[in-house]
Amino acid sequence: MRRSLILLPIMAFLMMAQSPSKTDLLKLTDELDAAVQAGDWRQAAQLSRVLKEAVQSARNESMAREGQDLVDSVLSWLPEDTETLVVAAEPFTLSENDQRKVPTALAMAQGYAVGLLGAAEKENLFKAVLGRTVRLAALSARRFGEEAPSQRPPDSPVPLGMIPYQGCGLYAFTQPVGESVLTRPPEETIMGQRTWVSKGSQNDAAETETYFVSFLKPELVLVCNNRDFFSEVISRVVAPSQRRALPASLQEWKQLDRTAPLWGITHYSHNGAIFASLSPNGKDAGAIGLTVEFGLTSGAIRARMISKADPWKQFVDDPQFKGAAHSRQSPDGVWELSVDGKPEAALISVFSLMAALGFIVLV
Amino acid sequence: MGRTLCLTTLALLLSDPLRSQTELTPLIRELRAAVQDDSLASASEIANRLDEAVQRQYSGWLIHDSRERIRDVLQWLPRDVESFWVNQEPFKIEPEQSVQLLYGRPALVYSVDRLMSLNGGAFYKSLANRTVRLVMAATKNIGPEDRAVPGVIGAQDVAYFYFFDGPVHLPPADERIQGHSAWKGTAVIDSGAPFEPGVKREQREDENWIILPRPDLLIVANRHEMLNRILEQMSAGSKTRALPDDLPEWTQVNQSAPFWGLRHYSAQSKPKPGEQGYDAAELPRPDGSAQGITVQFDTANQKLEVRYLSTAPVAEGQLVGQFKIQHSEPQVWKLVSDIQDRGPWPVHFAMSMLGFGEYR
Repeated sequence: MRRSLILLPIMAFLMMAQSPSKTDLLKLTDELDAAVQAGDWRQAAQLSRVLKEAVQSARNESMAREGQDLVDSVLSWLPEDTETLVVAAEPFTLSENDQRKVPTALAMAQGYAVGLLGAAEKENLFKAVLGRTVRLAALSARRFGEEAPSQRPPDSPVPLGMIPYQGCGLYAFTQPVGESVLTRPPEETIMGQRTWVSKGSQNDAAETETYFVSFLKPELVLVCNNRDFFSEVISRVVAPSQRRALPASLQEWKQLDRTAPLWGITHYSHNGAIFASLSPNGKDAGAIGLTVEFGLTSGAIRARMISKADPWKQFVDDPQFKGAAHSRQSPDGVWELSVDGKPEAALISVFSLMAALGFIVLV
Repeated sequence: MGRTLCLTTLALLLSDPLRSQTELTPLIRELRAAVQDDSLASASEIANRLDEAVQRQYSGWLIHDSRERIRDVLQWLPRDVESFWVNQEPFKIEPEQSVQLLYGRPALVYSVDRLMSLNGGAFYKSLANRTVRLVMAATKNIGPEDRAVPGVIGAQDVAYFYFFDGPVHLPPADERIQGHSAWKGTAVIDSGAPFEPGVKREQREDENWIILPRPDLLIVANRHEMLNRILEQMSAGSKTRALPDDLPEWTQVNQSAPFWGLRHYSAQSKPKPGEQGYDAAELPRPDGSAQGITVQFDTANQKLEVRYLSTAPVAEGQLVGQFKIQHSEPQVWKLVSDIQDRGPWPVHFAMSMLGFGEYR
């Protein structure tokens, strides 16, 4: 009874999304210690689960401010013609695919964010950092669907998997990673940055892409799949530009909550056909831009589209969403899609919304 | 005897507070120091490791009496039971997770698919968030076996035993059977007929009874006769048991595995002289000289081992690429698979050999 009463304020903190204090965490740790000493495993299991979430919540809170500052820096580093930015703002630990776990929509979306980290260096970079915690991942991209002429022999089938794009992933770890995770000297120095170059791909065509990996700081890893994009980012890190990607004046920013655990933004002005291409009948909803947010309360997802017509009808009507998707038009004319945190709707939600951001996976 | 000792030792280790303190106390100390230093990134990683260790201890504690409960169930079951398995990896009932979402946890799928389907899922929903610490299942009168993997369970007699972590509270009972609260549960399922290409699958309404003979024990059975026999033996006791401990299969199964099972083939389950598969096993169907099989599935490490006891050769057929086949002991064929690499297909194959299929 006494322990349950102590648990209540801690759980209340978690439910109110407030960060528990150091005193709360230490008190909870003492309670867990007492339960372990007493061999009260039922109580220990409950306390341990609450403690894990409380510490995670405190960690996330402490990193949130720095994360926001880092996102602002990333926006200033990206090329001006960047179309899409996906930010995994809540820290997460890199782990191998565990078939026994039912992944959440947030975990699947984080998988997209680390796609370049996983593809570079023939997957060896990812293997080397397994178990480490990413405090923030930012995936930026442009020119979706534009295939380099040399990428595929004429008349060969379109490869299944991720469509071509030019992009960079910036991965900020909680602890220094260091160049030693790559077991060879860098192939090149590009604009003063030691750069590791490898071949690979994010689809079933073998080694059609070239990856560029560099450490901006020991805990900050940059991975790109295009030399120009990589060089532009490096040059802007060295000499920041006044003009930034996805400028603050874009109306999409007003629709976005940057405190969401994972969010994405795209402005379709450079590639308006992407969203229309996802429609079964090719109907153009007149889409201008999109924001998405994953990992909201109870695992819910929200997307907002600035468009002339309801772009979400096909999502809401799709039986794969299991009735979890709902759309409405807000008073300012923006079309909002909300998807309940129903586990069965998670995969199709992430797959569809990431495609709407440009990251189309052909299956 | 050796296996019994091993299981007892495992249970003692898992529930021994002194050993647990030795393992957990340093982690708790590390966590306290990290929180004190405001090193919250480290603290979070330590808290994750600590929680994994505590949950492991809790799971071990939940099944500390599994040896006794398994012995009880084997004594309650009819003597002519042919196949029996145990899932001793505790889990919470989460009705929002469909069978499709449990794709990567096949042992769990076979543990809950029937319960999940009855009365449109209403019964399963009433058990939401309850922890099941042990599941056991047994079957007899196994008909012609489906070669498709994963197969569909046939119309054979089955009984499932769910041991919860405490009393369960259910809606008012439909009836009483031998003085116990009982509920009727139905589902429209595949008929279980052998697969034939191009032939539309027939469906049938399947009737089951759900009994709560003890506040923390739920039994699901599809035959009144089998259920009555179980309840009689529960109340009156039994000097006999299903699958007696002198069967050779018991020496070939690791009872400390999170999931294990064995089957001792009845004469009707094996082909007769002159029938296809009599001289060489075309698994999952046994050959004419087969004695039985055992299954052990280490779910934490995703390692599966099937042991097939027969003097006949084994045709590789469907096994190629899915299992490594070893014949290190006479009359024992070991089929070993890494489920992390292969996916769940070999587990479905093993369940098919045990005479179980999916309830769909």
